[in-house]
Amino acid sequence: MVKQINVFSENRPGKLEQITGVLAAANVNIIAVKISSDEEYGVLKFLVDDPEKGFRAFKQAGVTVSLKDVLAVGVENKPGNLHHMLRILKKDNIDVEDCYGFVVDSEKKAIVILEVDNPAAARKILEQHKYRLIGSSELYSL
Amino acid sequence: MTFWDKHAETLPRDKLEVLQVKRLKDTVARCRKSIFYRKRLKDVDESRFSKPEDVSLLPFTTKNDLRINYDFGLVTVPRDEIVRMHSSSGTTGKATVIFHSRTDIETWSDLVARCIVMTGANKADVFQNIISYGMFTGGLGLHYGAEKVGMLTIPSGVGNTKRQIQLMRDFNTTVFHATPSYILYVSEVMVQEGFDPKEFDLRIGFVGAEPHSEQTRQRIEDIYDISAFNSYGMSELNGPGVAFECEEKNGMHLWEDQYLLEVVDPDNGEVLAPGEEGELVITTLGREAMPILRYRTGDLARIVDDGKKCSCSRTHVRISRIKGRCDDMLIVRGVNLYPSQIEDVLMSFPEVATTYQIILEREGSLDSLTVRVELYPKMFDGDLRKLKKLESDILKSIQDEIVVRPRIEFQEPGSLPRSEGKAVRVVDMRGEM
Repeated sequence: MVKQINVFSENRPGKLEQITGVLAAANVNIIAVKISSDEEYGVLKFLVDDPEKGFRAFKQAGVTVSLKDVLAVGVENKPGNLHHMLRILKKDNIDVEDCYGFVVDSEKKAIVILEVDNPAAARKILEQHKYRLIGSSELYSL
Repeated sequence: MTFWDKHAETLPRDKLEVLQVKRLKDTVARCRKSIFYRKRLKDVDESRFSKPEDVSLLPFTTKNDLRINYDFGLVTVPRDEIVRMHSSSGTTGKATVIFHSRTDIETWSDLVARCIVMTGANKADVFQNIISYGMFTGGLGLHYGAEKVGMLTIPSGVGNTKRQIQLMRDFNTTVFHATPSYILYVSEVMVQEGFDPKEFDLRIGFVGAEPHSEQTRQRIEDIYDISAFNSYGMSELNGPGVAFECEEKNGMHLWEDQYLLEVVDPDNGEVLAPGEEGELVITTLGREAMPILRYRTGDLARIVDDGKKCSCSRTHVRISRIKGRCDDMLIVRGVNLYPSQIEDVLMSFPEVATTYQIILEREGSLDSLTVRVELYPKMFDGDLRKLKKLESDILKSIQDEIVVRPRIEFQEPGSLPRSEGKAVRVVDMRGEM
């Protein structure tokens, strides 16, 4: 399973920079970033090349952080694909907490990151529907 | 069950009351030697006092009386009989000074020794006094009592948290004395430094100088795996050693051979029935250099009146946890509330860390109440929705408790200011209307 680093942050000027600074200092490379925010505070989500190392660096810096299992799904970069996948999950009552994607491989392929309430079940369902789940070694070497 | 002074601590009620009346009369007579009381007691005839309740025939003494009569106005002994001066910690308003004779220091140390032994601590313990020394009475008060008991006493004071932890490790500290806010902060630093607070040799904690809730006590007990005891005192009445919990922890025994207690209505000063909540009014019964009659403490509490004798067999009255000071009360949108009510709610949520702050502001003509809460890092699982749910749960619980709807702000751990002495929990920025 792919690991994502979730960081709690107050919504104040300079906070994001402070947090990315921790990863930079630890020489951890960011593959993708997503911000789920509220007016006062938010959760920053980082997909990085070495999640354990990034997690340790945050802990040491006194940042409130957790490691989360997420699904990375490879899809063709064309209209309707994300929608199709979400419908399959909904049919099986998988609750998608958060979702983001990015394009790789000269825009032909995309990777969708799914944060769901039951990652193991969601993985099974997607595999049954012939989706390609991307493993950590492949993802982290992007 | 061990006692420091079994005879005094278990004196039957009838004998205790006879002793109180005698000492009250002596105290009033002694007071006449001070400039302040000489005038004030002109129309009092203490020879007619026959029961402790007759104390209510005396006038009150307020903090303002002490201020106006700064410096020696209440002193009843020649200047060269005074061996110690203390000053109030100035929680509210200008400082006041208190003087002690050699006998006073002896008596005070004895009272503190009673408290220490009452918790199960003894001379084999190593005692770290993690509290301000100097003119604040918390430091020297416990220090003298602990030495009297015979404990190895480490006067570590407050601050330099890493060194406090080092001392605990190096000298196997078993008992500490601290404010609740600081000792909780110490536990955070322990964790940061890679220690488990439970792995220290600590077994007993004396927690005082700040009103705190039962939930906070339990949290301290859980974090350190110790037994924590609530302490009550104030510099005007010596300092620590006025009242303390026994192992039963159902109220604090107030030493009635040295203090005569009344609970009054803070608005009109009328004496309330046992069990009713009101302001504690206390008369010193043995103090030599600076006796004080019917002191308005400003502290709100009640007598624990369950009709039962305490199982520890001490006969002295028990008082409840201090709910707050009369002047701690906040009026927010016309509703009376105490910070301790909010603390109680917060500490019942395991996701919440040990530090919080209450911010009062005025938006237009309306008061706003914001509660800043630090998250407990271990409880964060990265889910924003869970945080939102926690926020609404806390909001609802606080609103149920105080009626006013607060705003909840989550903060990163360590972002709220830490205090080493008394914590600043309330920031009132409303100003005058």
